[in-house]
Amino acid sequence: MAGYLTWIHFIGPTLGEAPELFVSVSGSIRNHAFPFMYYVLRYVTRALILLGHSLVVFYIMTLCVRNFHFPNWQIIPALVVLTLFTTFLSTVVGIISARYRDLRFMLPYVGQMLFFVTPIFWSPHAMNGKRAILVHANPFYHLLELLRQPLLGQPAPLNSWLNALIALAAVFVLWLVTFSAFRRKIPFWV
Amino acid sequence: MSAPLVSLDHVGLVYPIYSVRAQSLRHAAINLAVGGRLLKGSNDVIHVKALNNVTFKLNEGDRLGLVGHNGSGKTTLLKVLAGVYEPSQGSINVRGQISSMLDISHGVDWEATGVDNIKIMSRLRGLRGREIRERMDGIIDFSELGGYADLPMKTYSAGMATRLMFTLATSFSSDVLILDEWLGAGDAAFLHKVAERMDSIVAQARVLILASHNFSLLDATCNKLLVLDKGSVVYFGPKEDLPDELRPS
Repeated sequence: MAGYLTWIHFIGPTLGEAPELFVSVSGSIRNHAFPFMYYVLRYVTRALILLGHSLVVFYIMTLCVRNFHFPNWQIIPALVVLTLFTTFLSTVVGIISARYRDLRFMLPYVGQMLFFVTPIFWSPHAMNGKRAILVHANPFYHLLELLRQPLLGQPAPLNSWLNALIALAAVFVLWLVTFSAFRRKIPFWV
Repeated sequence: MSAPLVSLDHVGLVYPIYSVRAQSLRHAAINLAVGGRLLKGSNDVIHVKALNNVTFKLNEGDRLGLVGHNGSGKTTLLKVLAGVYEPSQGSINVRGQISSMLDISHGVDWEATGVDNIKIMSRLRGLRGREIRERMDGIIDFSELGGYADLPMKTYSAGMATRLMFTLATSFSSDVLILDEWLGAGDAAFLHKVAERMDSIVAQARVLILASHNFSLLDATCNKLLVLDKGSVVYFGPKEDLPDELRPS
């Protein structure tokens, strides 16, 4: 359940909702010179507020099944990393889907596939041999671990931290390139 | 003499228009596979040169009127000035706070009450909580909402909604004021207040840029005129020097 929470608030929306990010506010973009990141931050803030609500439900559930764990301190840096990751990736997805409108229909399916490939409803130990690559080379798995383990009261493995930070650095570079190259064109695309 | 508040230097803007086909990644991918033969028609991405080599400077106290036919680039120029579009060529430099009234209904949430909308729209225009509270009563008074201020905006009549949006749009002081057509709103009694309010905000702004088809209004308000035709400047200068052939009859 902790993994599912992380998915639906951070990674799912970047593929499911972020394609609409700029297109849905085209009226504002074409009439006001707000910084484009304003729209992204508004959307990320909404995701964080929703996460806050889900956490309440999560803790009520863990109390009901008598499996309550006090969250590990790593939950704070994990939230920072996940928020930044979502911010950068949604901006890139939002920009590209403003240019190519059919991505809006395709990306949610990609998201669903990733959801099944990533160990959320199944244990990562179920994969062995060559198939374990699917788990360990999947950056989303490591991002998920950052929040999942602290929610269950344990620190996330160091390996996951390393992989998550590399993934964050990669989307940051991607954001830097895409945003600076296409920022000027967003008002024409939406 | 101080530096100009608004200066445009050889500003050009090329505007891409995409066909439905050009907006599809599927088409782009197929195209790549067949070596670009499918998209050979140049109709899929059309580049419109909306502004061409626009250069002018405005100083403190200038009132610029934009004149031109439909499609001559007036609104595009206003949007470049407001910072919505970044120019493709040349540079633009605006000192001071810009207030554009291109879309006064921006940020309206029809489900929220009048009071909430005043808060939302003021926040969107960069005001702080304290400043909003100070202005709240004045805005409600001027827009003549009375008890309706606490009801959702979807229950308002068209006139009430327009009055509220007009009042909000004109409640913020700015250095550079950008107007696409003169704002007018509401019933006859309100129109009189509107005219007074417009005069006062125009007087407060350090620079006014107004696009309008109403030449007598521009003549009465502005001291400088800029005539656009197909994206190029045909005339820029004091209104008194405008050649007769450019003066609309």
